[in-house]
Amino acid sequence: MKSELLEFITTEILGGQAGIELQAEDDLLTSEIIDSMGVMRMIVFIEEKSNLKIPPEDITLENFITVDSICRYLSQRDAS
Amino acid sequence: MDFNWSTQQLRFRDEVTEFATSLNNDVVERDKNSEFSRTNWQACAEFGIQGMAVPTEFGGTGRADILTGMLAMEAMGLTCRDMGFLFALNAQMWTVQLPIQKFGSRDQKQRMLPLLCSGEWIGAHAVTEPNTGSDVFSLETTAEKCAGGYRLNGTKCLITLAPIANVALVFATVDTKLGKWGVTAFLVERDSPGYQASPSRDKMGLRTVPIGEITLEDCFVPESNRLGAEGSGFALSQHSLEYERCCILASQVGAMESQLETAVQFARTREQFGKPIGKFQSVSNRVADMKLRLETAKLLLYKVAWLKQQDQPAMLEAALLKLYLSECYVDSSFDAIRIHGGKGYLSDEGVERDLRDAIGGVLYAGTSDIQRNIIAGLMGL
Repeated sequence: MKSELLEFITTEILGGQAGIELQAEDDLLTSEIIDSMGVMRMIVFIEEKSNLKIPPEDITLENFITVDSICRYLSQRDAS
Repeated sequence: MDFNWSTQQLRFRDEVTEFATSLNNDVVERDKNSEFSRTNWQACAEFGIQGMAVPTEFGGTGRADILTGMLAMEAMGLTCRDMGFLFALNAQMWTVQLPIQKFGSRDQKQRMLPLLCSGEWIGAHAVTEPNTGSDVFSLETTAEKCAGGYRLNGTKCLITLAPIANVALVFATVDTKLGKWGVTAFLVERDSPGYQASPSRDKMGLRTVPIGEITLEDCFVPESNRLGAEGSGFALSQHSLEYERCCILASQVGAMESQLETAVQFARTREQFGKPIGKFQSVSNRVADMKLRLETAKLLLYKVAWLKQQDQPAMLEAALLKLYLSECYVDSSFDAIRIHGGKGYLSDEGVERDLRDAIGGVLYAGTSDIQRNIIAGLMGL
């Protein structure tokens, strides 16, 4: 999921903007790398790929601040 | 693909359609005087409108899922000619009650939903501020943590029902550095120290719903009145927006249907140059355009309601619906006036009121420009 997410954000949300090399530990949210719409598109992408429904109350800074934290959140969901 | 409704849904729709005709008393006068009908609000509560989507344990009837709720609000728009009042009902039901129902603690649901469903309380959704309209998550109202809760400071404007609301769902930031991720929702009760609501503002249309400001000055809100976790305001808001767009706009579809029936009736009976004006293509073409707008808008509305019932995302579809339907309502309202001629220009006839009421639709819950931005953005632009 990590590499798929990085690719989706880079190509689909950021539109392959030159000079942006996104890392899994980069802050996506408070640095405004992705905006509100980007967040909602990313949620739809994750739900499709993981077959998990992400409830609105789980869309928090803690769970979605980096690609790493998203993967941790999804692992926890898988485990529960 | 099945466009059929169940017998139960149709029975409910018919009940609502019949009930909503009782809400038209003095609507012309109330529109002139910008007067909200508390009597009709109470009648709706007793009929079960406010509580239709709320479970019985929290004071509702639990009668309507999203599809049935949409159908009921469409039925309200068909026979109730007071669009300001319908706007008020929808605002409370989908932007106050629904977030409490979805994100509230058991205590919050038990304390507030029965009061809102019974009509005893009125609720407002307070997000817009003087410096933040479309850029909604740059809001400046702050919530500073203190012993037992938070102190809120800021001003909310253009808030539907603010002048008479008993509780407001206020969005404030707990940390301005976090941007939208600091936005948090609070249920602020009217009698809280530091809470002040303005009188109603005069406006072009939707005059029968009071709209005004809420000022919060060191307003203490107990922790038990925070809705959801700190920083969950963004997700909470996104969740209710799709429902809000669907159900608020359902009443507009009903209104467009009623408007069309009136226009057709007039075009068939009004005679000029020895024949009904509907026999002139300049008039009949307008009627055809109104019918096409109504049917295409209805399809978009039903698709969004269906997606939400399936618990599927509908961000793109809801934006398409909001943009298309609100613009169609304006266009058809203008066409209705042209069909009625001078008579349609007179306030007592109610034809011109539709146009004044429709204009608000291209502004509230995200302007048409913002909807276009969302649509293009979701298409990867």
